[in-house]
Amino acid sequence: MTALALLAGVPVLMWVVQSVMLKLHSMPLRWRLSNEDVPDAIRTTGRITTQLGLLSVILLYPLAIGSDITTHYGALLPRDHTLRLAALGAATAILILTLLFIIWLEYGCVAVDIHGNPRKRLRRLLMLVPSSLLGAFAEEFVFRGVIQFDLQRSTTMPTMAVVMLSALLFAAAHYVRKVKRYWTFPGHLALGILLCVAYAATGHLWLSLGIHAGGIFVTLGVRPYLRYRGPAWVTGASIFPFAGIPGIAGLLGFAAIIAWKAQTF
Amino acid sequence: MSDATDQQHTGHVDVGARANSDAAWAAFDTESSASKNNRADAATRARIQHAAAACGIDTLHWYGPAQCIKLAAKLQDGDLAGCWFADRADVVAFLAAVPDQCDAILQAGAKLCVATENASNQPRTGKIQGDVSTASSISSEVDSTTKAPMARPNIYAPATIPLDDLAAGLHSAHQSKRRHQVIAAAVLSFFAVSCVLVFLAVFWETLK
Repeated sequence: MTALALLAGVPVLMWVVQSVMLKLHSMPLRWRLSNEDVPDAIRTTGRITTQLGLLSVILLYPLAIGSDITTHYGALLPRDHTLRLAALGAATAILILTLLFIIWLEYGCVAVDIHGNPRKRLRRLLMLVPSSLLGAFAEEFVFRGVIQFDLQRSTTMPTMAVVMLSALLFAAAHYVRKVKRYWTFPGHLALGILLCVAYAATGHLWLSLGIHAGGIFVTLGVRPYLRYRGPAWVTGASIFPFAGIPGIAGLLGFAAIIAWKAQTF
Repeated sequence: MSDATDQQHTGHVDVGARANSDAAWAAFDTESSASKNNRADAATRARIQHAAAACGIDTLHWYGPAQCIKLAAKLQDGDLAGCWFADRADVVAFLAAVPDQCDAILQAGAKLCVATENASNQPRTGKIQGDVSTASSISSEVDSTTKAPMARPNIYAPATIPLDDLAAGLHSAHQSKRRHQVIAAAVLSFFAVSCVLVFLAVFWETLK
């Protein structure tokens, strides 16, 4: 439960920083974490606070359980043939999403619409690989390497229950801040189940890291060039292509194959 | 939409801005290029701005024909409460450019408003295809002291009017085609996902 206590501190820290920033800008306090109608300074500070909060969880957890950072994460990222699973995960995620986008493009569910200014697009393109890796590493370390690891270590819950609880926390964390749409929650839950199953089945982070990074790579990569035309039940929305029914089915199917092949459950 | 006559008496105008006051409003100008400052027809722009202002909308985000998909996406997502058009032909032109999104735009509650020229136009009501509102343009009446045009918000009563036959026909024909496309996309999506997963299941041992 050490991990849950650490994780719970992140939204509290975010709220405190948000309140201080709102006060400094003479704006009324908010109960919800929200970037709605706030100046860029508050928005940026909020983003930095979230990242620092998650980084603190990553760095503090090994120390809190009497280990050290290198030993803890080193064991989760073994330098052996299992590294291949990262490539397999990334290739599968990229293949599935690419096929979906090609089909959706052909049937008018997404349309080519190059938007944003060219300089920003180029910057995003150059940062695509680092952003995908950074995002995947951060979330995998926190939700699999800390939360799921801790639930498996400190509770007697069966593996499937740990997977479901970890996936639920992963999905819920994406909605702590006020967001535009909440119907994408089942998509995030399905993604959480896949990534948690991947970790539970292999005992390391390579497979979940690969899937996660591959997914972010395609989603962020096409973002400046495509617009979602829907319907949402097919395509999901905006940056959540896995939130549609085919996406959810793909995530859960992939999770089922990993669980079946690994015979962990 | 409340009764237009009542609106005239009370001076209340509501084209949806009140219902969704947080969202911004757009305007569509066929003369606009992608650049927001490059508009050939200043009179049309002024007419739209006046009509919108009379309904309590001070800021409009301008879109041109090249930005139809973007505009439609924002209306569909609720980022924009609605859009003002110079005339009904522009509404039809816009809808024709984004046939796939017509349903979603209307279902999202986005208002498509027309700033008409004729101030004496009595608002017409009736539930029809689409949801197009109209507001009459600003009064030419002049304030006797300031000589400035005097706005009379109570004449800007919006009303729901039918899209013309072209838009209705386009919409209906499109709906049927669109349904087939969506079904095909969904079926193929499932098929593609299944193929990848079956391949993965069969070759898992080799691949890992």
